[in-house]
Amino acid sequence: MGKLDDVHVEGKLLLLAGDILIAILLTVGCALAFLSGYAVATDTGAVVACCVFGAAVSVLLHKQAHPWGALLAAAGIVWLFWLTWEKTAPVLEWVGLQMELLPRPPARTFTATFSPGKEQLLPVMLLLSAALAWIMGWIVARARRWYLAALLSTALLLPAILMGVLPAWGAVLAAFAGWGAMLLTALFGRKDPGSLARAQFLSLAGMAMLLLLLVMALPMEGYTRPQWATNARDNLVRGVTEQVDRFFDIDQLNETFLELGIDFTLSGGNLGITDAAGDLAGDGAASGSLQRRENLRAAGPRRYAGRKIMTVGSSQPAAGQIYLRGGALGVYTGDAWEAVNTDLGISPSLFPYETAGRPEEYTMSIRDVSFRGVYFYPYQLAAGYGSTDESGWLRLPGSSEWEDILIPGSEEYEVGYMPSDPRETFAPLGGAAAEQERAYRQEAIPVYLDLDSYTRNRVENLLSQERLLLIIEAIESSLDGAEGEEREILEQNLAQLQAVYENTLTLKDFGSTVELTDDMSVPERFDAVLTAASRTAELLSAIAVYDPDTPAMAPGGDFLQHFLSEGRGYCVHFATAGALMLRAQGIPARYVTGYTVYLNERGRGVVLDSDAHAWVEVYIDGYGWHPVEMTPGYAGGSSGVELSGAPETEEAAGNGETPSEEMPELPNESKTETPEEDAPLSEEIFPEEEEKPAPGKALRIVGGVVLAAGLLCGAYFLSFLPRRAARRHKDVNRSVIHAYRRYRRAVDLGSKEDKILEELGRKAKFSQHTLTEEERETAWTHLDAAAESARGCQPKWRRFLFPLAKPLL
Amino acid sequence: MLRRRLLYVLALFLAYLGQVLDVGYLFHFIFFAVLCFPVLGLLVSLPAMLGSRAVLGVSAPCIQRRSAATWTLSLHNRFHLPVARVSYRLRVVNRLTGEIHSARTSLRRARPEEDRSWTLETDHCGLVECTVDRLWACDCLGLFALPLRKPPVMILMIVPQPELPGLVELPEGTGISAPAAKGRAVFGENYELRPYREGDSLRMIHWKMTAKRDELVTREPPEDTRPLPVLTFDHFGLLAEVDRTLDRLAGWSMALLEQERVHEVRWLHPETGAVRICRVTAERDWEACLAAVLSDPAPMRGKSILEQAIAQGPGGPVYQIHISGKEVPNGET
Repeated sequence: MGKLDDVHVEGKLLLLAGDILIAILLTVGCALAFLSGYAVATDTGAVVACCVFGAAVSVLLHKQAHPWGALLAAAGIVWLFWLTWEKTAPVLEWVGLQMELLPRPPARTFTATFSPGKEQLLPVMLLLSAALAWIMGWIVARARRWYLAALLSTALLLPAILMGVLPAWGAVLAAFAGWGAMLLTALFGRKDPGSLARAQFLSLAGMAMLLLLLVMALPMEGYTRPQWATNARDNLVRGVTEQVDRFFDIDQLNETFLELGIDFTLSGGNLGITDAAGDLAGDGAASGSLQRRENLRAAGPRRYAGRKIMTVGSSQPAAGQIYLRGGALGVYTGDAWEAVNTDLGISPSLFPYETAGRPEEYTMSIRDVSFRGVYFYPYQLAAGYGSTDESGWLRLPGSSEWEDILIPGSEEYEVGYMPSDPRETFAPLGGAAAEQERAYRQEAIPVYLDLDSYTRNRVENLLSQERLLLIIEAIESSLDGAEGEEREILEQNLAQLQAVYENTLTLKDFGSTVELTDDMSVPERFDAVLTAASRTAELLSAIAVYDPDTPAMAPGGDFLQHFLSEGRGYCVHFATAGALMLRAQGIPARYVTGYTVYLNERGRGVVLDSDAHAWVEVYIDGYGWHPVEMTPGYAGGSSGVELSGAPETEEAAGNGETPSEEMPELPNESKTETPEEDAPLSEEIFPEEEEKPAPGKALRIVGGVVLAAGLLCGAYFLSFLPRRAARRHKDVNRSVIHAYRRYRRAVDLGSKEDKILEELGRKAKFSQHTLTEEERETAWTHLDAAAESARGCQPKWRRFLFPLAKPLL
Repeated sequence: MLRRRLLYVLALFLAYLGQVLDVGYLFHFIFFAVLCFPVLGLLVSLPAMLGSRAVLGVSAPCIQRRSAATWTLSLHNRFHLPVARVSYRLRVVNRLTGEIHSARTSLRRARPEEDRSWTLETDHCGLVECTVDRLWACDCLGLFALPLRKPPVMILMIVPQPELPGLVELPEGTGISAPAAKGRAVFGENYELRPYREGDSLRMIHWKMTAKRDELVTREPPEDTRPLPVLTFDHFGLLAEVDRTLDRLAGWSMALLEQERVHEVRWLHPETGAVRICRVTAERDWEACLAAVLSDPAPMRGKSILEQAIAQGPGGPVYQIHISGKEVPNGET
């Protein structure tokens, strides 16, 4: 007996060691993954030490027969939180903000100005680690449920993973090892701690070997998604979209979503399946919503539902195209545009306004009916109507950083802008504004000139004489077989390219026509930059055509290369190529998204989802950011913003289709009417719409659902027929044997043994007598009782589903 | 196991979806990890599964009717590793009554050394065979199962409770000789002497005469001239009747053995109709005879041995005692 006790104690100690090891792996893995995933800069050594110690103590406490130790520890952690709440709360809130990386819904527009330092973060992180260790210790030592550990870690890391951020790989592997070891030992009993501990260590060793083999066999460096996965994805998207198209009217469905207030749309031909970056695949990059990252791989064929996004109204009568600016992205990665992470505390968008010396202000009222958490504004934003940061987010005045200033549903706001050509009213910046501009130019602008060698090489090659010559020769050879409109377009292209060819030799020579020197005045610089932009736009329209059905780029490729290879694209492609080409010429440029809309004479317009657009902003030293259009066919309008450099000839109007073939339906256009300034905007822009959903489709859906439910119910009731037949079997003995067999199933499910039914069953099977009807009835009655007893033995969720198993009992 | 397999298929499908829909490395790694996980589970479980052995035991090989009997299935693992689940089918067959009990069950979360016991109903006599087959051990994930070696069949005899007859009066001296009872010599003054023959028991040697004659002399007990009692019974009927018959048979056989009367037990084989004869000269002969009786099935109906003439014994006519399990109205048997 003494030896047995020793063996038992040894087993318990081994099991304790195993549990502690697993708890440490889970706690340290989760903690480090969290810190790395959300870029929480703190002393990781201290956090690891706290996790290790906390996990060990937690397991020890949870292993005790009485839970008092563990409860005391939990109380201690809570007390510490309460004690340091004043210092802890802001840090926790900041950590929460770090975790809110999901772009929608609802997106938040406020940015936190509170950024704790390492010293402030460390105590809070230690407390959080202690709490995590307590929970993991409970899961490992008491609950012994591997999925609880997996759920907790996944919940903590999910936002980062969805945003495509990979936490520290070592930490993730440690968590995997912990989960795996728990899963492998989940089915073992705890009666023999020694054997369980041996199994635990064996599992840990196995997990370590498996992870090591996988890490060696699947290197992370240079990973690209396998082709079979890409093909599977394309097939899946295509298949699902075809089925959705077949059974649903997508436009109707989107309208239904809109009426129900659901922020989700389907695009015909592409479903809303998100990539790691959270963008909608195939939805078109220029969806108009502000993102910190524009996934260019998602720029596939454009499909729109014609959904209303905004309605706008200018305070002054003005007809023409305006641009509603959302946000800007400045870092090109080859397959995406990403936001520039600088916070200089200044508002570069106000510079042009400053230089214009405050002319008469225009205001624009905007009502966003499909609120995505972004405030759009026309060029150029006037002072007093909000401020922007480096990424161009507009924050309206009076909003608090810590409040959610977005109102789901619709929101109406007003911005001021200066529509006229700044060259007419230009005045140099002075005083503090000039200082600010200088500082901004020195600190922020270099990012917008950044171009990696590969892209620079492609752009220089694009603009080289040799390249142009190749393109000219290719077009000349295509002319032979072309006729009619196609020949006309090719001849226009040829003429443009020859004009460009005569004016340029290499990129350097191209740039020399617009060489920027330090002694240039701001207006001269303004003209030079916009001329360069104009030439760039001309070149782009010559080498590529506008095509909204341009396919998406293959994974692993470069977006610029893809555009040049295809020779076609839409605003996303032209804006990307234009920004990069301008950077190659030494002009700071960035990629901007938003909407374009045509205003009527009364200055009113309706913005649809198909009005989403992308263009370029260039930086002019001493002036600020100014928009330029790169997409052929988007000529600047007379009101709102006038895009300088936009060609006025028909040749420059585009080589093919115009981007917006359908004008949105505008409210009543009458030149004689004077705008009623007192009339509420909403009444004019939003006439009562009494659209009723098509009854046919709804009836079909309802009918289908009812039919399916009816079939299921029918099948369920039919499944009772064998039971009924068995009960009424003409051979009473056989009937009782059937009842006995069903009774055995009930016993397997937990019902108590029934001596009477056992006796009757034996009698029916072995006896020479024929049982009576009374005995048959008794047997089946007892069977029903056994089934009920079995149901009572089930856990709650199974009890709910138990009636489905009734036909078998 | 089916549930676990379905869960695994679901997990694999989700991992596949993640790999297809996400371009990141994480889901790529997860997909292959989920793919390889069952292999790891199997490898981790192999020592436990291959090192497991099942042993079937019974509380006693022979018990009386209505006594307690217990089967025990013991699981041993030489590597002292736990096995997630061991499933088996237990089959208990009573050759006399024809009852078959078959149950498929499993040992979950078994320790390396685990015993499971269950009681056996011993209401009726019989030769009960217990077999354990379809013995499978599952891996730690519940996805795969490996067969284990079956333990040998265990046999339990449920013997009758002897019901001694009231008065055993047998005819004496019909002149028909019958071989004397073996095992316990009846000497007294009634014996003859003869030379020793090879094979004679040492107890039969008359040592005095041997010393006198200087050669081995054996005592020859006198031949039993009493008629050979033959106990017959019908090996069919209701179970209760068969039990009573066997109880009485056992009682009669015990009584005859106490009187040192060699006797025979005869019955008809229920299927072939052949006469089964067991000669009982000692207790161990009776045990063998009982085993033979209990091995033969006892159907509801059959041909009575009384319908055919009783064959004579080797020494001449026999004295038949037919044993029945029926009750007569006045309570006599």
